[in-house]
Amino acid sequence: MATFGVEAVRYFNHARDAGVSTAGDLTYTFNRSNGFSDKLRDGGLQQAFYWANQDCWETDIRDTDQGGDDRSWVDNVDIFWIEAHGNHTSDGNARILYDIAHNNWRTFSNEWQLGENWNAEWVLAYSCETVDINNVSGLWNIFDGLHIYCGAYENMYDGITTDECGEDVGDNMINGDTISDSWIDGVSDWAVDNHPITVCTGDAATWNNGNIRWDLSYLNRDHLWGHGNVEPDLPPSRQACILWRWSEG
Amino acid sequence: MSETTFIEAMSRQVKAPARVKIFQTKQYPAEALRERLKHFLSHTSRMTEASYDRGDWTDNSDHTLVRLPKGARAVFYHASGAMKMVSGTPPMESIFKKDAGREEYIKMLEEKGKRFGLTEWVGEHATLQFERLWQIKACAANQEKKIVNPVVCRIVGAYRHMVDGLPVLGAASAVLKLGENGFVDAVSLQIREAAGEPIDEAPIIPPAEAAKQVSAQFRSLFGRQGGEALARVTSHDMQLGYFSLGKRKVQRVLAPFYVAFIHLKGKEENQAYQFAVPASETHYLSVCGQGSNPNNLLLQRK
Repeated sequence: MATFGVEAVRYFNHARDAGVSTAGDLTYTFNRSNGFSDKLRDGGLQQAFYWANQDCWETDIRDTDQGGDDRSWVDNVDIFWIEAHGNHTSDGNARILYDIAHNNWRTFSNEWQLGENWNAEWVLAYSCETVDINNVSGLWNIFDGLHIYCGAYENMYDGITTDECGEDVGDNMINGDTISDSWIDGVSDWAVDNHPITVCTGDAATWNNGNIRWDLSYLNRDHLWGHGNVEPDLPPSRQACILWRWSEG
Repeated sequence: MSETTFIEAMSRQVKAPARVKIFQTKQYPAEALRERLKHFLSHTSRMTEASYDRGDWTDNSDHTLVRLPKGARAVFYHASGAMKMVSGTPPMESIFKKDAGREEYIKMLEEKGKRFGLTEWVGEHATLQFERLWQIKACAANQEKKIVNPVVCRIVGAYRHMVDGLPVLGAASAVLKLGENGFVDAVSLQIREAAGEPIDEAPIIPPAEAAKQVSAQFRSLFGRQGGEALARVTSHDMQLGYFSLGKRKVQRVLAPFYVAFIHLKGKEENQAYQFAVPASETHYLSVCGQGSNPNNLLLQRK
């Protein structure tokens, strides 16, 4: 049975008190993550873990080879939802803030390596700006079998009209939409300025000398396990391009 | 900026009428919702030339799902009556061969919207206005960082329901998603119809009073550092309108709210917040400002 994990941080008072961030608390974090969890369980997936606030640790996504424990957590489930404050570095790495230094206050995606011999297919981050749309290649290293990273290239709003986003993403997935469409449609109420993006890698046939075969990409073909086609993993040795799909308005 | 400057700036963004009418919303019994969805699908068929008169209907706790031919589906939500049809076409099929530009896309959406009869669904005292064009695009790069030209995959028209001259704020009231040659990928309606004549008329609190409440809510998110957070606000907007709750929530009345959007630059992380505060002294509609607690938690971590 396919599995999923959830980590959601609503309060950042410890990070503020420690002087590592000025980020404010959120309000509807758990509306979204509860909704996502409920829908995926309705769709027959098994929840492997759901950590909240200070129980969310950066070591859960950091690669085991780099001193983290992703093989027990993020890389041990098929799909992982995280909500916290985010940003990216100047070289295009995603970064996410936690409310506890276990071992660090933030994760940086240059320390992620997802897929490998483990499980992770899809990572979804309801966080602002974890993707640099002018340097998406900065995320390339995370795809070691991982299929799609779903994040944002600008803001993701915390407000009452985005409180059902988790349910919407989950409903889309269990009703058979692709992962890419499930994310972009699900986190958009087409009113607030949410800016979702989905990123994946492709092989040489997909790159096709720059005449992209979009039809072959994970963006077009990947669905949730049990709810449509899932493409095979693409190891780094066969990756020829990185592809991304986003909404703007 | 100081709190005074913040409140003044927010207040200037809204022109508030002295009074606003309060309407009950139209409630549809279950059978009527099914008929509405059938009607919605017959409108959709007009645009798509697909036949949606047959389907496999499944009732779930909060919505009814209809599996349609060729992988399409439709859904209506029991609490709100919101409806959606999705073609089921993979997202990178029927993409635009070349970028036709904003004006052409808006024209295409207007034409399709008319053909669908979007305005027929707005109810009494109401209109529907085009609000915003969204575009879903895709791009790629190789390992040498050669980047291809982006392609437009879908265009999305967002429409706003207006009741008695005021916008019904919340998620877009109607959404039309099109691909190449006007292919209809999805259409949705999330409209809270006014039912009959107004049940009341409420005096509107001044924008400055609402801005003060927004400021207090905003500051509370930063604990002791609330004042400093105000200094990092980079943009804000405040609107007055009726408020529409999410599609999975029951709503009995259309009541006025101020809705504010605040973006701020953090020391390391930027943030974006939305706040909704009642615009009348009498509170006709309850909006949950507290958020949920986590459920399905495992035991606390050691």
